[in-house]
Amino acid sequence: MPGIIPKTAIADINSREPVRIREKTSLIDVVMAMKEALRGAAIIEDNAGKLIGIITERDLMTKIDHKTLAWHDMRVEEAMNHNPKTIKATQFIHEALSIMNTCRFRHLPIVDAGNHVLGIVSIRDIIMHVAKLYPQEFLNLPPEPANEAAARYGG
Amino acid sequence: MNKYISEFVSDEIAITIDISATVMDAVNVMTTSRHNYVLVTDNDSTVGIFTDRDLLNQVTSKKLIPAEVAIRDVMTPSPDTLKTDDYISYAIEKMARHGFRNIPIKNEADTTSVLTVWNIMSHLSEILDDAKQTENDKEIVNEITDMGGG
Repeated sequence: MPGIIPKTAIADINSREPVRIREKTSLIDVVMAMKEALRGAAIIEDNAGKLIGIITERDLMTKIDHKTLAWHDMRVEEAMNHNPKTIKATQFIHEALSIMNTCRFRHLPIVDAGNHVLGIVSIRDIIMHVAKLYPQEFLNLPPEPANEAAARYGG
Repeated sequence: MNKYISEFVSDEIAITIDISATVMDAVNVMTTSRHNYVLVTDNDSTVGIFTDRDLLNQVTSKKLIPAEVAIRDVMTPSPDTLKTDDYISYAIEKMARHGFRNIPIKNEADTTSVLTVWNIMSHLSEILDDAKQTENDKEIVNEITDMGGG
């Protein structure tokens, strides 16, 4: 089973439906959409449904002047990353990992040949995928001594 | 064989702010340091953690101004902590199951570092790149199994 991991295609990972936004959307609406969907990134599409950008929770921290609430009315196109790195559904998990590591991206849009977004793969999706392939290692762990003593969750 | 967290976490001391700080202080520290977390301390003890996700969920989406919000009101209190001699599989399990991306690690010297999702990912990426290049499936199995341990 472990030998399968390098050959896992992106299409075989349980990625989720991304938050889809249009470029003229206001930043506060982007924030609300991401919070409601519990997602750390949103993809921005043009009128033809093609990918033109991505915005992440880090962008929402670093690219906004937080002194006032004036940023609420900014358009997402002013803060998004244009022409984001993407991955095809037929590419492999190690290729996604390599891009994420090199660029320090936590999310990669999955696109088809026409640059339409099919999904988005996150760093957590990949770690969950690996953990699922190794349930004996990750899901049936003995209780952590410290947590057991303190009766905390997560052990 | 299982690997220990000490093999993955850097010696770099975690970035911190005092419990009396505002969210704006946290934003400034995280932006300058290029980290997406900051530990909140009270008399040198870690009492909370704050991340860019907390900023979105607890502050900006509630239309609050960061300079007007106390970090103590929006941090995650008493974050789960591991030690350098705990197995790395515990950290990976926490990241997979709970979605944690930063886990405070108690060092032997009683200082605190943070194991980030990037510490795990770079190791995994190296293993998979090697695996792709080798034709020896048995070697692949052993190396990856070593990473997970159990």
